Amino acid sequence: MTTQDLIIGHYEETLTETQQAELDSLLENSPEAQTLFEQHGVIEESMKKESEELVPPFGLREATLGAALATAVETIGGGIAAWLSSKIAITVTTVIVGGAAVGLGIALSGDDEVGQDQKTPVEMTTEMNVNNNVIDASANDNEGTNSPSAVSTDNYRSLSTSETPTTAATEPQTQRDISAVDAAESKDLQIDFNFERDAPAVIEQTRVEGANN
Amino acid sequence: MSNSNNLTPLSDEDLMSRFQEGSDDAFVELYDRYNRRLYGYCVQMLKDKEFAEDLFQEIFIRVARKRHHFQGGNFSGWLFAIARNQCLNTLRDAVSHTSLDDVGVLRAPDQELYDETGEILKQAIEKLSPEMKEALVLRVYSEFSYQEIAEITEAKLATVKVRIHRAKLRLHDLLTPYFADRYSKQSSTI
Repeated sequence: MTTQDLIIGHYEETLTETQQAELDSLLENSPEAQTLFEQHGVIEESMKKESEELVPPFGLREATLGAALATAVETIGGGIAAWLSSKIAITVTTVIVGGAAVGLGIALSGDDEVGQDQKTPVEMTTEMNVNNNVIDASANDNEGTNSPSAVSTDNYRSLSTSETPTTAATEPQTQRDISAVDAAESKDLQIDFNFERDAPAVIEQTRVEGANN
Repeated sequence: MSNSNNLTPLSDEDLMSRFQEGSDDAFVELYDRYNRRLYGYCVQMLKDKEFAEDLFQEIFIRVARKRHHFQGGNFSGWLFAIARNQCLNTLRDAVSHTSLDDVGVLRAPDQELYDETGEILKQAIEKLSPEMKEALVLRVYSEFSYQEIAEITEAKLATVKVRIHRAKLRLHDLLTPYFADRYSKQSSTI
């Protein structure tokens, strides 16, 4: 151990009795050792003095405790809020999912009941067009006119699935036109049916069939 | 926020347990026990009082927020582990360590003995390596034992002893020009 090691050990209070005796001997007989001892003493004393003077400012206590304890309260409040939020979210989700499941179940059971009437969009559109033709043709017939332009205009105005023909007179025409559509679907769904051109003939045919019946 | 005297006999760990159960007074007591040591650590490590005060406050806020993370054991070690992490993060962001080559620039300002030594000493402590400085600060300014410092810094006991010993040797080396200057002044006045 060097002299400085012994001196530092002395101030750290880690020396054994033997080491302390060795240091005491050195300090008695060596001016250099005494100088070193004093210098380390000044360092130790300065550090101790500074340590004692390092005290938090008065205002810092209140500010720190206030902020820290507020944080603690926020944490508790936040925890409760988070717990409640999670419970509410679970409840709402359950209700939505449950409702959707019930709704889906009803829809599926409803589909089974009306499944026989289910048609493709092309079929429905074609059927509607045909039906409109029939209705408008009947109307024109009743009024004693058969203007092709009237048929054409009303055709676009009255596109509705509610207008389902129920008379026997329209049935053959409907069936025939659906067959025509089926055939047309195989030709990229292009229906070669011009209302202005074909409607008068259809109307005339309907009238003849009606008269025959 | 007054301190409750009936809490004084309780250990740090008991106080922390009470704080976990909602006792603000227990937290205040812990603050009063550790504020000076923690403040000294913050100031010495950061060397900037404003930074140190912010850090000091942040540490106690963190203790309050993370109180349920403390599950027994040594409270002071846990507290200073938090302080150390916060401090290292701040230092990493804000402070760059000065080269040890700047040793010879230390000179005594014209002040009273301990004041001027204290000023020089602050500069000298800044010249220490981060590990030596931290060990020394925890020893001198936060008054921890070697064993406690070993736990806080996650170092071996022997390593802590060596760091503190070397830190003091280094401080003396750094202050040698100052001492020489001082003794020469004393000699000339005699």
